[in-house]
Amino acid sequence: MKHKVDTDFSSLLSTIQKVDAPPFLLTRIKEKIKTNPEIKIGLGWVFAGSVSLILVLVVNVVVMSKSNVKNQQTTNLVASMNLAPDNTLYQ
Amino acid sequence: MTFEEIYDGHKEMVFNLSLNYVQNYADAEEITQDVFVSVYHSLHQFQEKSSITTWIYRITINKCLDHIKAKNRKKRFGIISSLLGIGDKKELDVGHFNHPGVQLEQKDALQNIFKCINELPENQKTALLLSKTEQMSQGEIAIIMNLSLKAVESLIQRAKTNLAKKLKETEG
Repeated sequence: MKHKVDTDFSSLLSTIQKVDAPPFLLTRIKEKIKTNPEIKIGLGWVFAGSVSLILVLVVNVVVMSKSNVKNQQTTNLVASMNLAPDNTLYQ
Repeated sequence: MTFEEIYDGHKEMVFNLSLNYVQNYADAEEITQDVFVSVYHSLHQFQEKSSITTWIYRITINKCLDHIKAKNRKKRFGIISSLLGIGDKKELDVGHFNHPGVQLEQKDALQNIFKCINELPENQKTALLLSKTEQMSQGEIAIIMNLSLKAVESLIQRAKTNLAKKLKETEG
């Protein structure tokens, strides 16, 4: 049974006839080549992009680590002066 | 070899493979254009490690897969748009069966077969189409798909088994 299904679709697929390519296709292809020239990104631009991305990441990390130190200093100051750490008036 | 000579020698091959892959005349025409634009731009990169025909076959298969993926994305977007009530409804019924190489009396049967073939994994579909519609040997398919002969043999076997299963499901 499986063999029959197999031969059925195989023989049906082999009945598909070859079709001629549409006319004037080469003209349209040439037009497409002319209107959409290949965009080439130079290696220099790729390098510049990667370096700027890394730079942005490094600056972010530095700023974040510095802000952590600043927060720690504020916490220490609040604790040493016995200041209320929040706006709650009644415990 | 000039671009025009390459085009003349391969236009039928590219168009027919695309047509069998997407089963739509307009889509196959668009893919054929994209294939030859790619060939034109990358001709200087072509290294004669394989024949130019093998190289063009690979480009065609990749372009067909890209086209199907783009169409599926468009279809998904169309469904979301229609649910939200925005966009054009025409986008939903893209890519209907329109294969001029199929004879009228076999149209329904082949449409059903292609519907099941389209549900196969990409590499099984490629191997099966190259084998059954392009009448290629397993050796030729292995070179085009960059696989071993054994891998191609197993791919075609799995494709046939899955296809037979799917066809049986549609019948019953």
